Amino acid sequence: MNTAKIFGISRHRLTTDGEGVTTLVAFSGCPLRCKYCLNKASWEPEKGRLYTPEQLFEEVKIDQLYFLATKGGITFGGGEPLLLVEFIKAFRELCGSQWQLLAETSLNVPFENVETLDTVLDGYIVDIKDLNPEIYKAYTGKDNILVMSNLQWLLQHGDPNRIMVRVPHIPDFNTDDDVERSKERLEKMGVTSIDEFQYIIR
Amino acid sequence: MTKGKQTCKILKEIRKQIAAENDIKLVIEECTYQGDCLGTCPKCEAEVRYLERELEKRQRMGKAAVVAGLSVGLMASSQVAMAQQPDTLDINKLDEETLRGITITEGYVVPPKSYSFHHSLTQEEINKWLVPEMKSLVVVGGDLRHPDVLEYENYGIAYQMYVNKDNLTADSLLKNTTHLYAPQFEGGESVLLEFISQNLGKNADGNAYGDMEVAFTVEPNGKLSHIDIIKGVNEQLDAQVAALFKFMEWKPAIWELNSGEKIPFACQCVQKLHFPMITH
Repeated sequence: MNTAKIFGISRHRLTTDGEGVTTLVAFSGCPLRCKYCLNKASWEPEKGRLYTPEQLFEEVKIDQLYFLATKGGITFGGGEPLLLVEFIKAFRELCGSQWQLLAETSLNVPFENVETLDTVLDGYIVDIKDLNPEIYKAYTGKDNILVMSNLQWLLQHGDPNRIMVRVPHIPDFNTDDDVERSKERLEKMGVTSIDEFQYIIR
Repeated sequence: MTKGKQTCKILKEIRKQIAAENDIKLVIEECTYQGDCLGTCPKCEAEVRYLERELEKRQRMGKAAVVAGLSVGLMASSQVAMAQQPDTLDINKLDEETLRGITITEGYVVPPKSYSFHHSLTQEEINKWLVPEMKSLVVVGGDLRHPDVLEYENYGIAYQMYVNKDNLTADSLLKNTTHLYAPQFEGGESVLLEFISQNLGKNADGNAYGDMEVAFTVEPNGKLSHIDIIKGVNEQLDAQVAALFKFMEWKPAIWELNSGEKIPFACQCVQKLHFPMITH
């Protein structure tokens, strides 16, 4: 059965996740172990409430009118949404082509997932961390080989404007110079939209 | 203006645009609520449902329903304003001063503002609201469908759930409790409103207008008791709504112990309804 564990649904997000009125759907399960992760509950794939695509659609379609009027829709986050290929594909069939479907992703997933979902998703918010492999590994516990190859592929196979890359200043892990280097490299790769921001540690 | 109010304002503008573009009569009453909100409430939701029904009617009559992309410009002009608004409803940002404002009345705790918590409370959250003198705990809450969403008691349902045992101290409560679950109508508030809507449909006073508050207790077996219309609209409608509540069964409030034992307990609730939301 096609199901996914979802640990949070947040409606009426107006500026945080892309254009228009959006609903954030946060999946459980993440390949990374980021030191300052805001949603550590998402690390456990078994946590959260179990949904079928149909159940999720029934719940979120309450805001369909707002989605259509503002060209908004659903932003899948988590956790790592690109691990839920079949679920998101089935969801697209239910919601139709008029809803905007975005993924807030690390891109640290198998290439096949990216390739399959690129026919389904309208855009990406890529949480890139830092392009320096050592910094990336120190912060997330994983290497970023897949991240870079997946990003390169997405840039070369479709409109680069559908991708927004978030580049954080990460206290104790990267410096302002590191962030600058990441940004320069991303621009050379063809990234047109970069969101530079500061992690605030509480 | 807080973020919730700003969201409410923008969503209201979207509804107005949809109504105007499709010749739908939509009278939006001025919201007089002074506190912050989530950007929506049962009254706002009812307006969306009304618009959906009216758009469907238009389509059945062979007229076009104009919605797609209608409010894109509005959203663009709202971006800057929204970005400047603090998120005042983040429970994690409650400061010491706010927490000190908790008042103790008759043995249970009432938060100064009625934030709800997650649908299941964690130990940490229980700690936040417990004070050593108390022997019982009240949680006032809102929307159970969205665990990360906070809602005020002024909108939708307000829950008062409390554990009140003479021999219970705050310490023993802390040591023994893993979760407190609020009572819930199966499917959440939107399903509840739909249930009321469908069952009032034929006989309800279609001209009724105003806010209603229904107080009731969800018993441990899920049956409702002590049903009382504490704020009525008119005699006929009040009686119909009270009768409907007598038929309902809810999931009771649950007190979950470390041992895994789940103890259902009686929980007082107040459901707010706005009319006309369900009589179209």
